[in-house]
Amino acid sequence: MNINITKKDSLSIISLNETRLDASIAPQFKQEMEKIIADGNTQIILDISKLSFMDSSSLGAMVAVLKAMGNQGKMVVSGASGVVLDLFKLTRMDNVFTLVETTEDAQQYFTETA
Amino acid sequence: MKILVVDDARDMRIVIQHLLKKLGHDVDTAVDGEDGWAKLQENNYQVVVSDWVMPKADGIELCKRIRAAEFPQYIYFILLTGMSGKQNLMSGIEAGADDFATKPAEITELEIRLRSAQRVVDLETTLAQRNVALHEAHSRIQEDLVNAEKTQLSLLPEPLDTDYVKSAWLYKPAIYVGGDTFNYFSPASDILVFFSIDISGHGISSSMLSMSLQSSLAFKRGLYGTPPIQHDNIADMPALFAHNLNKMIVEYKTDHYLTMIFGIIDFKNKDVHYVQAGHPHPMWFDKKTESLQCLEVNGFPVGLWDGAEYESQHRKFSKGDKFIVYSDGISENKSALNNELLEADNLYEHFNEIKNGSVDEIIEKISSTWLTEDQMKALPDDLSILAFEFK
Repeated sequence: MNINITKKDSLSIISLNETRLDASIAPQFKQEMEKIIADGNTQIILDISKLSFMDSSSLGAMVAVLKAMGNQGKMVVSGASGVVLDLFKLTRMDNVFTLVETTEDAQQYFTETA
Repeated sequence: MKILVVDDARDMRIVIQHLLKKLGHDVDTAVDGEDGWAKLQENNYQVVVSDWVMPKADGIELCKRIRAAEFPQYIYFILLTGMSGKQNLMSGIEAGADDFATKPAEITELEIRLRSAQRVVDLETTLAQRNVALHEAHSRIQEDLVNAEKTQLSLLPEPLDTDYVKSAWLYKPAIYVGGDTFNYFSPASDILVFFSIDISGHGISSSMLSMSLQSSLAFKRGLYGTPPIQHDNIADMPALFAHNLNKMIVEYKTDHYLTMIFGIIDFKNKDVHYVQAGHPHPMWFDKKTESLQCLEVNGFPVGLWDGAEYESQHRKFSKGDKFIVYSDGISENKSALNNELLEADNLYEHFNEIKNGSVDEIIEKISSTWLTEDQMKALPDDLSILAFEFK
């Protein structure tokens, strides 16, 4: 599982450098994200633009991460496209997550809502 | 240890046998490679101490034969060498020898070599025992899973062929047991309740939840609201059902959730009422226009989000219309017809090609032309497809 964090002011930009998020790495993804949140990162941009496939267990893991975040902070998901975006739409999770196209859009989002 | 000493020189055999016995081992002797090979067939030696140059089969040949054969126990092979030069030692190692001892034999050296041998033999014995235990456990689990698959399949309903409807289905779990399931039942003669469910993940844990739901959903009356299922209250029932089931699964506190199409077919009023809960878009074949439509309705999965709200969808049907629901397992496979993933437009095109067939033919075409036999044997995710044709 390849996750990179870069800090920009109060923002934590987390890049998921994987092309597939499925049952084999979903638990690890969830664990690492929960740790990142527990470490005090509260304004998170999760960049999933490299993902070309995501299965149901990963969607479950994403929701668990969102729940772990709760009201302590905000997570914006950037770069969902193709079948990954289709999955968010099919399951109406595009209403539950804040989805944007690029990490720049995500930064803009945080600036505007600050 | 039980040791075989192989040497064509009688005096050497006697000396080594004597030394090894002194070290407390059980020792037999052989006069050359052939004789040694014959004795190995009749006794379970743990160590062979063999001379290098011998008539008939030499030490290298004997060692190669041992390594190529499948003895139940590991045989530690020590080559006696009077020869010098690394090239020779290399050919010994390549033949499969474990160690070398110099000639003439000397007790301290033999003792050191046999200590190493003992370590390896002990390790090999422990490994062999563990392997047997693992193999037994694996076979038992495998057998259990095969039986579980049979049980799971036996709980799936028979295809329907009534005055109102004909159904056909395809079900194939990824690994013996699956998280996909479906069922249908008639609370009244002209009403059919059906569902197609995909529990997130696959394998044993998903299948346990799937089997529990498969057998219990039909009976959990509370999920359908309080009054019995009747023509005048079924329109909103799918959404209510999804709402109540969502509450129930969220309370289970499992890591699993599910996607589903849950529906009620009213044969009297010719309506299908259904709820889409994160399941792939169903296909609808309209007989009048002979066209296939993908019903693009989206909805929250069940048990993932406690705030999820659901909407019932309604659709009138006419004689000859077909309604196909399926899990997303199909989309992780490349079609045998065009080598593209069976998702989105490609999946629609595949259904479109076979839309005119009977439901039996549709199911048959999917399993025999979309996927190869090899693909069907090792599916990446559970596969379930349920097709209805209205009469």
